[in-house]
Amino acid sequence: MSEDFSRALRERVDALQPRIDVDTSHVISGARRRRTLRRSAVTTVVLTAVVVLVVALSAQPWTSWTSTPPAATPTVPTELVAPEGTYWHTVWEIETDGVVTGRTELWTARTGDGLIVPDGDLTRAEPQATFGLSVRIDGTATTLTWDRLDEIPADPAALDAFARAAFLDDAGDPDTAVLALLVNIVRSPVSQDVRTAAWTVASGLPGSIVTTGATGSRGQAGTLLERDGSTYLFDPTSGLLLEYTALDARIIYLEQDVTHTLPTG
Amino acid sequence: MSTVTTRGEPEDVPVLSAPADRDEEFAAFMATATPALARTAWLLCGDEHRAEELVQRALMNTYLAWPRARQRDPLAYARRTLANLRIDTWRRHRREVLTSPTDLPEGSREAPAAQHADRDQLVRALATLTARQRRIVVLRHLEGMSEREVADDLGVSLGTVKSTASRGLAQLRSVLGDTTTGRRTS
Repeated sequence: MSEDFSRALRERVDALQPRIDVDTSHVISGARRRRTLRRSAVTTVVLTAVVVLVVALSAQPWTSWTSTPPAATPTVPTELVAPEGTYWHTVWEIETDGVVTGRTELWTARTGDGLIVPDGDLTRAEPQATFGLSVRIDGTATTLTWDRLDEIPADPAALDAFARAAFLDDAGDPDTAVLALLVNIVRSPVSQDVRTAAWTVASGLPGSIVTTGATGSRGQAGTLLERDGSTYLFDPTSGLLLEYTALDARIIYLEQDVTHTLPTG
Repeated sequence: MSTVTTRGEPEDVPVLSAPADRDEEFAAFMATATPALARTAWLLCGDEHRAEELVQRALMNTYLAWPRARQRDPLAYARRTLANLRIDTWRRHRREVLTSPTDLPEGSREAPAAQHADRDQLVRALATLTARQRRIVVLRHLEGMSEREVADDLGVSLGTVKSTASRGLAQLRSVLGDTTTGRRTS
């Protein structure tokens, strides 16, 4: 099954990759310049080091180095720190064979860049794109921004119609595409009513098997929806997705909320 | 280009006899390798302009190491160089620019907005991966390299490639759903 998904993904990339005309006219000259600069820099460093050493030897007696430099405090790279804004904050862990193999914390911004932090390591933080859902509205492909999420209906029948008109991909099973879109809606900063409606629609799709009173891998109480080899455990009250399994991995959603600041280290 | 072999050199690797030969050989390499590298770069960073910069840097590094790179598989060398460049600044330079019909390849003019949205969805899905996950998933599953090749290219263990590729694919599947192919026909 993973090979099928992998192959389908490659086909999608083949169909969607943009044409990128790379200007290679300055590659060779640029490389030569870089090599010249590197050699000059090495020479400069060596000469400077010699000068510093000579000055040090002549000006000060030998002292033993007994102190150690302070441990570096990891902080978010300054260029990634954004002013206060509005973010959809999500934390999830991925398990493979019952072992946690990764933890990701994501801040998706209402406007501007957000942040993604892998495994709690702020030194590896990366910018993250502005929030957006790729959908089709009135027959036109578009990106539904945070401020347009109120266009998503909270009535199950209307949401079903919305989702069937809005999904972009057609793999021969529209219900699968609808489910994918509904899950992405649920994982967005939408209202509880919209989430509840989404699960109502999802539960009614052909092939969906719903089990109430289910328990997740970490004891989370919820409702389980199974379809086509994937499982979705959700909170029937808030509508938040708690756990998702597919292939040989499990994704556990630990936090999902709106926040107004990014971490600063 | 002259082909002079000396004792001890592999017989199938011609020795370059002059800098001009090197440049000529490298230019020919760039002409054939750049499209594939551009695809990989775009998958790694999600931005066409940034992808062009990454390819240029990878090619420069490959040129500087050309005597070594050309010994075996120079494309693999360039791709390895590309994959190890810093890709975590990708979103900062991204611009939401819709391509005009004249910018698109032949045959795609009929649905530029839809293709842009599809592409955007794919890029957003890749964005939910960390840089390391993205490197491994792109090389392993989107470029079709073997687990061993990916491990060697990125300097990580085979186990890391296996587990990270699996996690990354699961993450993509959670975002894209089970459907990833085709286009809406209506």
